[in-house]
Amino acid sequence: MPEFLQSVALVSWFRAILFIVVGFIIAKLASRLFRKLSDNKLSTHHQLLGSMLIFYLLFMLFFLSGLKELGFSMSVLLGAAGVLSVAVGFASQTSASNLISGLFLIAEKPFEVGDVLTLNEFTGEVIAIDLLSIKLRTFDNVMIRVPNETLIKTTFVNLSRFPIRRVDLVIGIAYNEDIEAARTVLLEAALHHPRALVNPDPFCIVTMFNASSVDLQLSVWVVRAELKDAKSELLIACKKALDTAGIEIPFPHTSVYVGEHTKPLPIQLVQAAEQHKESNTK
Amino acid sequence: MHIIDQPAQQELNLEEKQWYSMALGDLTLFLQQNGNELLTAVNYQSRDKPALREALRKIDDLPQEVKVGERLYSGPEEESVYIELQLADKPYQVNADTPIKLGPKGRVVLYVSTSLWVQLKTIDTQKVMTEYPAVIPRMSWVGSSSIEGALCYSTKTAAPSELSQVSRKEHRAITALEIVNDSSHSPLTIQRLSLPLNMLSLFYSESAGFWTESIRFRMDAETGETVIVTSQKPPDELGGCEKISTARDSKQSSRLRTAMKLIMG
Repeated sequence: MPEFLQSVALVSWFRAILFIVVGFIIAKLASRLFRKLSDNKLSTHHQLLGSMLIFYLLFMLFFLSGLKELGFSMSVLLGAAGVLSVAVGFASQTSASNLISGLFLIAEKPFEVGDVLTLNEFTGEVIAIDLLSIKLRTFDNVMIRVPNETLIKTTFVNLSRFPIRRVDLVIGIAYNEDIEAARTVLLEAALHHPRALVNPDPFCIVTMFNASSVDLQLSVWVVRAELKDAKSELLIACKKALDTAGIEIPFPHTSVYVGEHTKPLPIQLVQAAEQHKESNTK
Repeated sequence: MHIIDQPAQQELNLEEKQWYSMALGDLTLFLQQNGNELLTAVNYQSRDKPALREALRKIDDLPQEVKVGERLYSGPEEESVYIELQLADKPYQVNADTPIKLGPKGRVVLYVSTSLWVQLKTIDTQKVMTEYPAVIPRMSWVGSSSIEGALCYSTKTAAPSELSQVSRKEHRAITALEIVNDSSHSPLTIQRLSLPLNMLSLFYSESAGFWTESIRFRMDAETGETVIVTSQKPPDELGGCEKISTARDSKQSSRLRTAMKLIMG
């Protein structure tokens, strides 16, 4: 190749690389600027989506300009992209499915960054929503990657969608206790608890005649962020209130009945037997 | 303001390494200037005790059961700090002891009181360094359902309709609440109302105590539409009241159109 042609090619390569590098920097800066400007105006979820969109759009523009500098025709590129997409589509069905599922998730918006999800046996906070997957951080600080396709197919629970939550405490009382009195004691404990919301009101219902107890359900509305502490403190308050009122919380026990078709139960008095043994030895 | 024992927006002149305390409602606030830092500590008495009211004064030492809560630095310029009283940062849901029923085109003025907040603010930049409620408020939810609505504070009130029946307390600000039933046919029953305290300013006069601007709720019992209009000052019959702190959400309009279920729950 003649020397001047070589130099022209070098210049093109240099300009193409320059386009891509500068494009990358500008795209990064623009996405960061967007995040900064939208700091108090948008949710973390929207900030993340917006900054990703800005970055990829700007970077693609500069990347294509770089390719144009090298003499690539855009129409050829688009044609090649069409053929390539079919090939890539066959080769990466799972990724494509995840990508499309991700777009559906973005449109449906069943959760945002910062929400707490329960998915199968895992519960964790959403720390990232990416094109192919979301990342959860569990409460023992483990990261879980969940493919977007899984989220579309399976049922998950968003624990932090609404600002208030209801705590349901099931408390058993002994069968010989006054149920109405126990209800009043539990409701009073809830009404005076600082973490219990005044409105919606707490309520207490009888749910079951269980094996060893009559079960009452005390339901108290609390601020979502205080759920864990509220549940623990309410349980303590209920135990204290029932203890103060002299109402028994029973442990599981079994009653044995002897009817006319059974033989009498043999009862041995241990102390008497020991005394008898001692007197014999003397 | 004798509870703070100094004119509004005047710097706290605390002696070095000397503990001071002031009390309002259930709160006792302790302060100590320690070089360039301001130490704060708080103690809340139980709700069933009578409200405290004590101006800022020197004390020998921090009580044994109280621990230093915060160390405040006012910034690179070491701005001076002052104490300001303020209204709540969220709306207050006032629950009437007895439901109030207004006939068609009826009108009533109720007086409700809500507890104050004690703020430590920088003088020049007016930044709130820290704040404490005079009484720890109970939280509540106001809205049509558990999905639609907002968190707010809650208080019970006798809501007297005569100014002479209003009991004035040092740690509470009174709001004159005018409720108008715009409906020509349906009566309006009010059990609770959400008071937008974050949009109101605090006023003080030696004779009348703490007040906020008056509010008018125009409600239509049939359509459920409500217009809330805040006036510029407390009721005229109180005489001259000095504004001692501006509304937290001062950008909000003084006229707000909303659905009745969002303020009555």
